[in-house]
Amino acid sequence: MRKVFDITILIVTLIALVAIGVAIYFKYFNKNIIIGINYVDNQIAVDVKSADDLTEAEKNELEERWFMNANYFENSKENGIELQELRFDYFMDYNLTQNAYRSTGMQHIGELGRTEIEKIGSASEANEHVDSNFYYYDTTNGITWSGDKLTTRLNRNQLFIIKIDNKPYAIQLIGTYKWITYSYLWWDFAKLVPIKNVNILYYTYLDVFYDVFKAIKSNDYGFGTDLYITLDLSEYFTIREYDLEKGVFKTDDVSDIIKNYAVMKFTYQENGARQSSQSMFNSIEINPKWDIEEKEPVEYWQERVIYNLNYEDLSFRFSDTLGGYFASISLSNKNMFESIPRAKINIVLDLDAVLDNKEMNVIGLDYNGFENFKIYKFEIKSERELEFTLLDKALNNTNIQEFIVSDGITINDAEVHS
Amino acid sequence: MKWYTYIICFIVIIAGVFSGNYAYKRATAKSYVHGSIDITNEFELKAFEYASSEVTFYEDIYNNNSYKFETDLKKVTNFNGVDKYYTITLNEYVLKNSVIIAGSTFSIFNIEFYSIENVLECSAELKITIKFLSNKTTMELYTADSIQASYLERYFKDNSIRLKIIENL
Repeated sequence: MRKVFDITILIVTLIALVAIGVAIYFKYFNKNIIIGINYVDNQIAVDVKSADDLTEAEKNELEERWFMNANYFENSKENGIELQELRFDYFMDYNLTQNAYRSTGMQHIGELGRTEIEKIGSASEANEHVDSNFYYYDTTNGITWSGDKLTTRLNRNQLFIIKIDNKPYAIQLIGTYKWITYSYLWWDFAKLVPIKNVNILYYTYLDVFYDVFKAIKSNDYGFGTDLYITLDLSEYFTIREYDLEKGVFKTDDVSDIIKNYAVMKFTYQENGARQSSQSMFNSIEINPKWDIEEKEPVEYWQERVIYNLNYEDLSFRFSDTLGGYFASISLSNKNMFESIPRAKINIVLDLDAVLDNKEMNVIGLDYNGFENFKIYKFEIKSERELEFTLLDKALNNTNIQEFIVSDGITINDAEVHS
Repeated sequence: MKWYTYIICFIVIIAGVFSGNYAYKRATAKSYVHGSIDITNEFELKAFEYASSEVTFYEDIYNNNSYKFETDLKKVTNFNGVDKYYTITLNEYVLKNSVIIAGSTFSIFNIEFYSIENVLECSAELKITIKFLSNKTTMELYTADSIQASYLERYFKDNSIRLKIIENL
């Protein structure tokens, strides 16, 4: 019996030795690198509002929601202030619905220096730490931001739920920096017995912030709008997949060999920030009306876009009976302006230019030529003496405010003069 | 076996369990990619499009009393002003009479702003230059003075800016 037990022990030991050997092989001799890439992008809630319910500005804001967004006005042209902003788009629960949507961001005036980052060696202190030199903002709809220095806690306790391939993952800042120092007891003058000390610092969002802007400054593309870089966040964050069956987030048991990358969207400008509208939070120093210079607020009721059309925008029809060409608005232009609100249209019909360039002798405006086409100013000009005929309903319902003709032109139409 | 042989075997077996677990994870681990974005393509655009919820004009230090906004954008791969025809739009407005040459476009956007009494407050002219370079696209918006700049900033803040160059097929 004892012999059987010993043999079993030996066999298990041999298997264990083989396992140790295989582990040593993978650890020191197998050079294959196993990397997981998480493109953490497009953090749009699955039930986000219908596009018809959003304004154009809101559509722009919601078009893409990357997990990390940064905005950097470097102010190298010294025409504003240096401004650094970092924002996280995420969800508050795993359902990934609009109600759970949230963005939280931090803003720093000037460039954050390494020496400004407080070194924290206590886990409890680090977990609660929020640096008061930053301004913090958050939103639950992606449009309107609320902000105060300390209301939003962007610290290690904050759990982000993000969307990867429409599945929820949890991401959290848990990283630490460890290093070893040696000390000696007071009597050990010869330093014969070193005592090993493990030092530990807990990363905060300032470390992440500092690294993000260091990466932006060193990106090889340079300045630009809506650029993207990948960041290795494995030093800072842990990422865990949500187990739909069990209703819990899985343990991140592979973070030692699988790095997590995230794509960050950023804007990097050499200008300085001049007003709060340039901020991704629409606010600087928690002031939505912040402006570098005192300006009178500009307000207006309505705008109108001016279009100056000439003969190239018109169509011409030759009349055998009357021996000349008649002008009308081209169908393509008529259709185009029907879809343009508040256009203020001026037309200059230079009869001499048409004659010179198109060899067309224009003698009037065609039947229904401009009917229902809203015109502010219509000018017909020529240096010649000629008669110009407005055929039936040529300018019907055009609401012309100014009708100008050159001195040598005689208009044959009762409608215009009435 | 001697008593210490059991202890050695026990230690080896414990080490073997941890080593086996590690070796199993390494042997079965696979690289993966979540998401579908190709980051290299994010630095290029097939067609020009610029959208922003605001525009801030800066005083042009080389051109007294004028204001401009300039920014570098991603490279546009297939713009060709020689062989192709394009339509340029700013928000819902077509910019007619734009000058389009091989690698650049120039347009003028005229807009008037009226008070609540329907009185003309400001008539602004915005010149838009877009240059398609080998490594990037540059865009410059230019206006003549600070009053026009202020009204245009207000307009773009209320309506955002969406500038597109669409190929006419």
